[in-house]
Amino acid sequence: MSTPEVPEVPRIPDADWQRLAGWTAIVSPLSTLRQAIIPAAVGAFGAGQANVLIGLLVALGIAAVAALAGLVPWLTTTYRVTPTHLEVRKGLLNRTTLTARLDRVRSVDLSSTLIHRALGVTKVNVGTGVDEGQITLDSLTKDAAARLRRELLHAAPSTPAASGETAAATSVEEAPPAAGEVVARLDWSWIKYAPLNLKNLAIALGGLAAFFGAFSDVIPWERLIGIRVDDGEINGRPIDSLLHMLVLAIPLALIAAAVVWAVGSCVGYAVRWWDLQVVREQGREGTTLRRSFGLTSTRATTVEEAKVRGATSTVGPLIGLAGGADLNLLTTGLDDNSPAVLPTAPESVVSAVGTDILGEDAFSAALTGHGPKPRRRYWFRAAVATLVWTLVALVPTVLIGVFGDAWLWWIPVVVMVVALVIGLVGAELRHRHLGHTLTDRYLVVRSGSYTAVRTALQTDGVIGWRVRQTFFDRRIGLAQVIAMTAAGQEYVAIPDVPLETAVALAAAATPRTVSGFVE
Amino acid sequence: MTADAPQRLREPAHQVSERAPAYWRTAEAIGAVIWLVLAIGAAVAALLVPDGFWTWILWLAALVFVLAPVPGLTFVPSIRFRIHRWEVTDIAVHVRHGWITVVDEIVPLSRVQTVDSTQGPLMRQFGLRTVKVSTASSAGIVEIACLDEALALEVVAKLVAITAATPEDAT
Repeated sequence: MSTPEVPEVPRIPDADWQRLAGWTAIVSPLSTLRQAIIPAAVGAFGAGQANVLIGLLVALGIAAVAALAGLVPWLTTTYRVTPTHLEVRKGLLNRTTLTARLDRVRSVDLSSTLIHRALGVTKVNVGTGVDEGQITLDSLTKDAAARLRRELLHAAPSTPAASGETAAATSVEEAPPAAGEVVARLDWSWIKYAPLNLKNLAIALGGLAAFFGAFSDVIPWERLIGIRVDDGEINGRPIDSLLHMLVLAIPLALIAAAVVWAVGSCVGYAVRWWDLQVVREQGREGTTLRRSFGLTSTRATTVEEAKVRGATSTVGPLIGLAGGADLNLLTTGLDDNSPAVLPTAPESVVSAVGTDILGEDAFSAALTGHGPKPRRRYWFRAAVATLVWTLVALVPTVLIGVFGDAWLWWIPVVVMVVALVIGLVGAELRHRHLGHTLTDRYLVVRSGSYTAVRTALQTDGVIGWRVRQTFFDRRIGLAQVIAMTAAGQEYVAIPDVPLETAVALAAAATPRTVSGFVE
Repeated sequence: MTADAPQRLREPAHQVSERAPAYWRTAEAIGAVIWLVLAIGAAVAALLVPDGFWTWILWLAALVFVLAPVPGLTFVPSIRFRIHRWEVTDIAVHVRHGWITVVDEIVPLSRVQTVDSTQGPLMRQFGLRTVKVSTASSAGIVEIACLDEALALEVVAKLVAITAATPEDAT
């Protein structure tokens, strides 16, 4: 079963089945190991505390299993490109053949971890239709991967005479990587946005918490920090005498954390987005966009531009104050169908690159607001939320007052003020951000409160509408509209829009579909 | 149909099967058994547990559990029947459903990927079938619920014929 050296009789004799790169035999065990390294380390350490020999055996056993599992893909996976199809055979016990029509191939994604790069190989993900998922080849040599990418997306529509040799190792070498048109390139001044990215901060804090959670039993805290807590005393001193030090210690710790975050996030940004380039090239059918970046792990994703259904521009809270925005595409067939084109960049850059890719200036088109009704609704919700939070804060205050004899009235007051300010500012922002318009080819929608998201979706990419009205919506004539699409997160929401406006918008965006149902 | 005239989506042409309300009531009645068990549980607890501030909460819970299925057994099915409507033209499917929240869904047939129909055991007793139309969007699944069996199969056949004739790749 596992003798792929003996080629099965190919249907097209000239197109030879190709192997993965030889280094796969090393890469895939290592990447399997990398995933298992924390559990393995914890397991081995746990066992090793009881008995060093057993710990060692556990570690060796895990390594051996991973190595064997890693060999299987190299032994069993072969692929070839015929004039019309990409075919991949894989599997040890269940032999499967994956076939993708070349004209359905929408994206090719080359990604290399540090291990891949050290060995000069890369992982290839081929995105085809919508729901068939991706075809993964892990890993090919860099040359083979580049060749495969060209064959899948860039080879000229093959002439029948030459078609037989498309997959032959030497025949596609003719074209040196065509010098494409550079759409965007990393500008190091953008790195100022890195520390402002609250989402990354949350991820970093989560990772830190998970790390200490996993190893908290193992880390010798007392020796590391030099703090020993006995009842009522810290390092032999009474707690009371140390409390006043906190006044100094807490701000210092916060400043230190901020510095670490600023430096760390900038380094992370640099490592991740190193040498970012977005290049437009001529593909088999129309142009393609290739985005490549990365210092340690690299990523080069190519999508057919015709399959780009739109883009979003996201302005986060702090980043927005600093004049930055994020640009993501709406695509199909990638593992992430809202890929970031750029790291956070100045709004003018996002707008310019967005205009270049969308083919029209959908990002600065003036938007139609949704009238005064949504605003009243948001203010009302903010008021209700304030009331709820205040009541929630009141409960412990009253309990402490009754049983603890200390009336901490400032707690609910502070909660009320904070909730009111956050709520009303959020409501006002949500109202201001709300809007939509229709350009030549795009449905443009903006929504969100502290984070504003502007979405431009090709009207050709709208594959259906859902108009929802709750009881309260119907009383004031608003509707929650969703434009269904295959790209990105698979829908674009137009919240709190007057029903008549919504119907007119849907009818104008997709007249053929909707106008028959309008009265 | 100009953009400035007041616009609404008109009612889709057809109602669902007349047996649908009876089916909804029966399904609700089966669910009501569970509510009733919960209500009895709460009442028994209220009687057995020594009295306290929780006693009236338990009685209230029992009352709520008894009343919970009442709307679904009485007036809701007829409201839903009045609102549920559907229409299949040569161009698109239009479905309206809901009762407190009303939803209109329109999907052009050129973008339909699969058409199928489903029927649960209870639906079979009532001779009902649901037609399900899916597109390339996970948000784009549209159901025409509770049609007469024969009609449902007819609609499926019609939809399959029309969608098969449109060669686009539906994205």
